[in-house]
Order: sequence, then structure tokens, then C-alpha cells
Amino acid sequence: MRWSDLKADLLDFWFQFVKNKSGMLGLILLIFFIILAIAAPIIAPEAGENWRNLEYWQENPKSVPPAWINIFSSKKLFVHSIIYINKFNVTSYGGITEYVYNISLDYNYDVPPAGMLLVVNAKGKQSPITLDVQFTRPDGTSLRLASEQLYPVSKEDLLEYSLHFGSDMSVVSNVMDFARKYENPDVMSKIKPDVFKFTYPLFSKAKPGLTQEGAAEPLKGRYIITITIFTTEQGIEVTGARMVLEGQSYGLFGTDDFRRDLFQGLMWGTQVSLLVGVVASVVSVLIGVLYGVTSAYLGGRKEELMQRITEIFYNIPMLPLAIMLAALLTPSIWNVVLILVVFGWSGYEFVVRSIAHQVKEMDYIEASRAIGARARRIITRHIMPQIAPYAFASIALGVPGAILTEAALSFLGLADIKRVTWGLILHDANGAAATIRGMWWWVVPPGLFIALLGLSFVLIGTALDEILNPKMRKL
Amino acid sequence: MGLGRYIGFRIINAVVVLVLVVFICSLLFNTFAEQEVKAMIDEIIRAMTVGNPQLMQKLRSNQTAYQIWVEEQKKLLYEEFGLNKPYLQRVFERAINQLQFKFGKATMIRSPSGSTDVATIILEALPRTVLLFTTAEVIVIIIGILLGLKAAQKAGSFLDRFIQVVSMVSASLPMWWVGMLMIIVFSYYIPIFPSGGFTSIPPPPPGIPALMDLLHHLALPVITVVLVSFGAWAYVTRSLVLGTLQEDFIMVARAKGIPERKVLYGHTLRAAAPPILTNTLLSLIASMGGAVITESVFNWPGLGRLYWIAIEEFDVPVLLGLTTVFTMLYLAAFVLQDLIYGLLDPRVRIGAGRR
Repeated sequence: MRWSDLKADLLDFWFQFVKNKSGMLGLILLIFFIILAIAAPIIAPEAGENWRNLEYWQENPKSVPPAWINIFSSKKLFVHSIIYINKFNVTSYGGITEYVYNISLDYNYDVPPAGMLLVVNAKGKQSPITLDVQFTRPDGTSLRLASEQLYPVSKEDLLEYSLHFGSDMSVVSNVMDFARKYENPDVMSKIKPDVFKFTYPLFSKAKPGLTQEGAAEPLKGRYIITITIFTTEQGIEVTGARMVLEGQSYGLFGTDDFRRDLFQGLMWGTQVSLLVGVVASVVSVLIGVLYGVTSAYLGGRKEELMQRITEIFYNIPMLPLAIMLAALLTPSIWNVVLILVVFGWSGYEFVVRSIAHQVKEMDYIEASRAIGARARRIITRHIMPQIAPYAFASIALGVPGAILTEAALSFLGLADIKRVTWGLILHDANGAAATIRGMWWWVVPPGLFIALLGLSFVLIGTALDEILNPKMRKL
Repeated sequence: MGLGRYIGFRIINAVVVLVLVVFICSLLFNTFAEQEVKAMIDEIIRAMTVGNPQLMQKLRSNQTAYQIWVEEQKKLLYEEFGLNKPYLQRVFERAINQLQFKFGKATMIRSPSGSTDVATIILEALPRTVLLFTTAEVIVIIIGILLGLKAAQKAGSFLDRFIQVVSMVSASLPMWWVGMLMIIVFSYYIPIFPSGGFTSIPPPPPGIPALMDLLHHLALPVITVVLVSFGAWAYVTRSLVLGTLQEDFIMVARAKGIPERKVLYGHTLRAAAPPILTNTLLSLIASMGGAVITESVFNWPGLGRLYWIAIEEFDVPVLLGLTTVFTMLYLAAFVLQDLIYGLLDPRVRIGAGRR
């Protein structure tokens, strides 16, 4: 076949495919997932390998819905935000260096942040810093949130100081002092400092009830948080800081119980599903085609024997054995692919063999055999081209099954230990009883992605089947 | 090939597969299963020393004698548990035991009645799985046949296209995930069904209240299975019926003036029955996998949830037993399907239908 012929054929195929609406829908869906899979290492390069490393996700809020639900809800939840400070106003006097920065925050929510965290980065000699945080509210009142010494965690000459406002007792007592001015004394006396939700008084109107979730009225407007850092020793330089305002809602897909960003997990999961689905399907079909054609061509006793072997494989129940093997082998996606191929190829072999038998009886095969064509030529030139259309459609139609099985194994807890998979996210959700806690953002997206990716291949496969196998089109 | 020979052939094939599967699993998991036994033996020896102060007194003074004594006891116990036999013989015996339902004792899991015997644990879970899936499949078959017939009657209508879309979409839906959605919708947002389990706690008095309670718990998992399965099933019926509707004898029946209802339910359905029935069984077999996982979502105490727990605890005897039982069920369904097809389709009986 010459190149120009092939090009014409491909173009012709493409024009037919474009006309097939459901096929195009499938292709668009598939492209969306491919983009997602490619974007994963670019947007979230570290998330994939750190999925099980819960330290990595510490600064995220816990079990919060996606930020966009604020559009549909009358009760606006504070959206997780991190304010990065790169440049301070620096003044030095008498050996003391003072770094000042004003964070201005436009607050338009009904539910305040869940917590606050300040991390200061510095370079140089290991020594404490003094931190002063002044909190000014839109109603003019202000309070000193923190004024204390912090000690660093160091890594060579890089220093990191952090202050968790919620678990720091002096911050909490500062806020309680502020609240005491407005709150009912009865209510105030019942508050326990260790479970005190300090963000409520900070972001609520200064009147009775401001400490109580539900009774507090949000105070909207511009807040100014003034951060002042003093260093008293030479040889230390503050390089930056970040203020984490722990949200009640987060990103596109929310977070789970382990504070992980579900969007990043979903992106990385796309890679696994695509890879496992496509590789397993391609290899299964290839083995099925080769085995089927060989068996049909050999004929006689050899075919009988080969057919028995296929039947044995075909009759083996896949899931229990896949579970056994996955439990035995080290969980990795390549083992999952192996399992899928071992139990998957036999289904294709039956069809391939019957097509090959039909073709074998054709006159033109006899003719070419009569003029002395060898077996290899007959198989590659005459039988294979007849089987190819079936094979292409089968590959596409086989992917959803492979994706579903991979997801099922992951869901049962047999996921690759180094990777995030959609099934694993659902496994964790099921383990944490996310369903009966109404955490739909943890349950709906992974399954929806599994279904949509599977659907895209079903649509493409059906379209391929219609275009390539007009003879075998079913009713 | 007569029907008897045909079925005999299928049964032999199924038995070969079963033996092969059980043997491979025994081979793969022999080491794990024996580790459990060895751990148990160590435990027994420890109990023997602790329970016998005189022996301990005597042995403490002489460490080497103690070591020798332990080795001796170990050897005796290894012999008792058959661990001193050649490796392949051990694997072979394990496989034979599996086939005889002698699955041994579970390492961690207890059955609801407190038994540690794997066969008992599985036997207590099996009827619950059967109850759930027979109920669901019966509903699926009824809905599927009715919708499929209606769609075939008016090919190209809205219903027909709807069934095509549903079958396409449900082919790629994980059934267990649909179950999770059902729980969110019908036990969290609209709390009308329990989120899982088999009975309420405490269980209601036996009789009508107990039955109602069971149905209440059964509803959500059954709805899940039906929702995911009926589309594909209706589509298969529709295709088979549509194929039959184009046969000459249907045209003759219509030409004779037989009412359309009768043509559809009498002539067409009867002719299309064998493939419809076999496809039912095939779809039943195919849905077993997804259905088993669906169970664990609903905490339905059947085989599926047993699988989930056995994997979590890595309880090898239970895993092996479950695989054997599951394979048997699966192969039995296959043979049954062949039998029904053979009985209904005369072509198989006289041998022309041999693939």
C-alpha cells in the first residue's frame, strides 16, 4: 500500500468520523481527559507521589466542599486562601531589624475561616524572632492577636517559623479578651479555651452572640492584618512569609478528611486510568488476534487444542482471581495490566477465529494459495486486513471494562501504593463513610470521571464499528 | 453431538477449570497459609511452656536444652499439621481440601454466629448474597423484557433511543459507585432508606415487622443493581426481538391478521426466548463481580463484604475459600446457561449449533 493511498484512506475515514456525532462527542471527552492527564505533572508536580504522605497536605482545610458552591448557596463559605508576602518594609535601629507588612483582606463571607496559620521564612543564623500581629476590623475596633517569640525549624541555613493561631493559647486568650467586651458574661463563662472557635469573634459584628456559631453576624468589609517581625541578632534575614487562612471551602473539587486536594488526586488518577485501560485493551486484543489467526490458520488438531486452552481462560472468573493475584503481587499498575491481559484476551480470540475462518474459505485466498503464496503472506496480506477493523473497534470497546476492573481493584484496597487512582479516592471515601456524611464532593467526581472516560471509549468504539464494519453492523 | 454429550462435555470443561483455578490459588498462597500455621505452632509451644511452671524451672537453668526441647516440639507439631511433607504434596493436599470445602480456620474473621470455620463463615454469608441478587435480577429481567419489547415494536422511537443511551452509559458505570450515590441521595439528603446493613439494630420482632425491616434494607441495594443493569438488558432483548421480527414467519402471522399483541408476545417472544434466556444468565454472571463490590458499599453482610474484610485483614484462608466458592458459582451458572440453551434451541441438540 502506497503512502498516498493510505493518506486518502485516512482522510476518508476522518470525514466519516467527523459526521458521526456520538463519535465526536467521545473524542472531545477523551481529549479533555488527555489534557487533564498531561496537566497533572505541570499543575501539581508533587501531589502524585505525596498522596499518601499526609504531612504534605497539612495546610489545607479538612473535609470542605469546593469553593464554587458559594454561587449556589446563600451562606457564603470562606474560600481557602494563602497570602504570600515577598517584600517587607524594613527598618533597622540599634541592632534590631523590623519587618512590617499589612495584609488587607476583603471579607464578604458568612462563615469565617476555620483557622489561621502564619509561616515566616528566614535565612542565616539560627535564632528566635519576635512576632507581633495586629488585627484591625472594618468597624474600627482592633486587637493585638499575637506578640511572642518564635523558634525556628531549620534545614541548613534556611529557617522556618510557624504560628498556628488556633492552638496557640496566648492568641486564643487575646481573642477571648476581645470577645468578653461584647459577649454575654454567662455565655463567656461557659467557653472552654481549647475548643474555642476564635475566628468567629474576629470576623463577626461586635455585639452579643459573636462567639457563637449560628448567633454571630458576619462583619463584612476590609480587614487589615499588620504583621511585624523583629530580629535582634546579626546574620539573620527574613526572606518571606505566608499567611494561610484555612477555608471552609476549597478549590475546584474540595478536600477530603486527610486535607488532600481532590482535584490534584483526580488529575493524577486520570493518568492511571488512561494508561491501564488503553495498554490492557491493546495488549489483550493483540494477543487475541495473533492467537486466533494462528489457531484458525493451523486448523485441525492444533486448532482444537488451542481452542480448549482459550475456553479454559474464558471460563475463569476474572474478579476473584484478579483479587487474589492483586493481593499476592506487589500492588502496581503493571500487575493490574498483567491481570487484565491474562483474563481478557480470550474473549477476542473467539471472534477473531470465526472471522479468520470465514476469510479462509474465500476464493481469493484459494487463488493466492494456488499461485504459491506463503502462509505468512496470506495472513498478513489477506486475513489481517479483514480483522483489523474489528480489532480497532474492540480495542476502544475494551477500554471501559479494563478501567472498571482497575477501579474495582483499587476500590477494594488493592491500588498501586505509589500512585493515586480514582478507585483509591473512592476507597478512602467509603472507608471514611463519606456517603452518610453527605460529602458528595468526595464521592461524585471520581466515579463520574470513571464513567465519562469509559463512555468516551464506548462512543468512539461504536463509531469505529459503524464506519469500519458496515457489513457486521448490528440491528 | 447429542444434548447429553454436549452438557457432559461442558461439565467436564467446567471441572477442569475449577481444578486448575483451585490448584493455582493453592500454589500461590501456600506459603502465606503455612505462615499462619507456623505462627500458630509457635503460639502453642509458648502456651505449653508458660502453662507448665515445672518445665520452665527446669529449662531456664539450661538454655541449650530449652532450645532442643523447642525444636523437638516444633518437629512433632509440624508433623501433626503435615508441614514436613514435600512441597508439591502439601499444595496438592491443600487443593484437594479446598475442593472438598475444607477451608480450615480463619485467622482474623469471625462469622456473625462466632465461628472461625471458613466454610461456616462463607455459608452464612452466601444466602444473603443470593437473596439480594436474585431479587434484583428478577426485577431487571422483567423490566428489561418489557422495555425491550416495547422498543423493538417501535424501533427508532424515543423509548428505543432512550434505551440505547442508557445501555451505553451504564456499560461504563461502576455499580458500586452508583450505590454510593444512592446512599448520599436516599439516606443523607432524603433519609428514607437505611444506609446499609441487613437488619435494624436492635432487630425487630420476627414475623411481619422483621420482613418489612429486611425489605427496607434490601430496597436501596436492589434499586442500585436494577438501575445499572436494566439498560443493557433491555437493549439485548430489543436487538434479539428486532431480529426475530424481520423473519418470514412473523410476516406470515401478520398477514393472517393475528393481532399485533399476539404476534409480539406469542410468536416473537417465543422464538427469541432461548437467546434472551441465555443472555439473562450471561448478564447475571457478568454482573456478579460488580455486584459483589456493591455489597460492601451497603455493608450488606454477604460474600462481597466478606471479600472486602478478608482483603483488609489479609485473611488467606477466607480469601482462598471465597475464590473457590465464587469460581464454583460462576462455572455452575455457565453450565446452567448451556443446559437451558440446549434444551430450548433444538439446533444445539442435533449438533448443528456447535460452534
